[in-house]
Amino acid sequence: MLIRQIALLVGAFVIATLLALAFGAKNLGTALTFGQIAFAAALLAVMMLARRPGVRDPEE
Amino acid sequence: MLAHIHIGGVTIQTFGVFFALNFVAWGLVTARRLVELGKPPDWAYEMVVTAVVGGLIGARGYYLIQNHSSLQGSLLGNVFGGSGLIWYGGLLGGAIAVLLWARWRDFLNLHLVDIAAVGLPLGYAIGRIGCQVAGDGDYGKPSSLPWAMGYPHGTTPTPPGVTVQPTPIYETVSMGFVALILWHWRDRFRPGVLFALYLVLAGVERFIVEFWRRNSHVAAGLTAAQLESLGLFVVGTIWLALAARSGGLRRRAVGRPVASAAV
Repeated sequence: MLIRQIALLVGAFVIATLLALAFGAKNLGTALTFGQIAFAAALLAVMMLARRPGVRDPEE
Repeated sequence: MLAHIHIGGVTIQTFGVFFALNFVAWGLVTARRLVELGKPPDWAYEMVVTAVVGGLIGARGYYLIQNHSSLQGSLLGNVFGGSGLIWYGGLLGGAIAVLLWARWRDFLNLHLVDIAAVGLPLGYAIGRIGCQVAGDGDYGKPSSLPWAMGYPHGTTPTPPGVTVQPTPIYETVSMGFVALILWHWRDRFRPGVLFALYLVLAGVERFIVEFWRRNSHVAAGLTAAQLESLGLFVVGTIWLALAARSGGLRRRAVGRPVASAAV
């Protein structure tokens, strides 16, 4: 589960950076700032929404 | 970068926006953890308000102590005016305030510090976005790396044509991963161990990133933040060693503080 969550954060960072570049970010540093914001948003979402480790979903 | 935004005639500091968001995030995660521990989630908001007030006093106070020789004007003017907040001062002030709150709530135990172990890196990761967007001077040394950038419109602008290392991005990513991993391990270790791990990891992170930042050296070729980071690392390591010797780091299966199976 942790590996998947890390991959999700990396994905959010990379996709937001690439989108910012595609939409005309002034330079790579500025584009990475959008990646930084997306990374933090994804981090909070994962922490709030992910199941508690070691606790099985009752529907499983 | 964008130090201010104007909405309906009101000027908003972008650093302040992310500073506030860091506490919102901390409150949300803390509320979830309190429910897991069988405590009222409303305590999260009490803790956050307490931490904000204590943190601001500590961050500003530490700045005034470090820069007392260069301050001019009245004492009150220096306390309430202008910029100047230092992270480690905020950490200390916030910690003292929350400990006093916890004593009042009879929640002064190791679960409390483990909650902080997740909230601190999460808040740090979000707060650093504010530093990056505002260009407040927390960026790094001049660099010609492909992702180096200038902050000509920042609150502490870089000189025209100069590009520097965008270290706040490095810090958001590294401390974000620390927050995620500690959150994932929140039921794995005995109470208090998570906080000791935070001390070690936060110390290592800041120690390394300081090599790219532009802070001046104060002793042995190290910056003040690096010396403070060493302190965090040493305290965390000693804490882990003591915990390992007195019954191990891992939580026993029967000792899990489950109040709600899943939230």
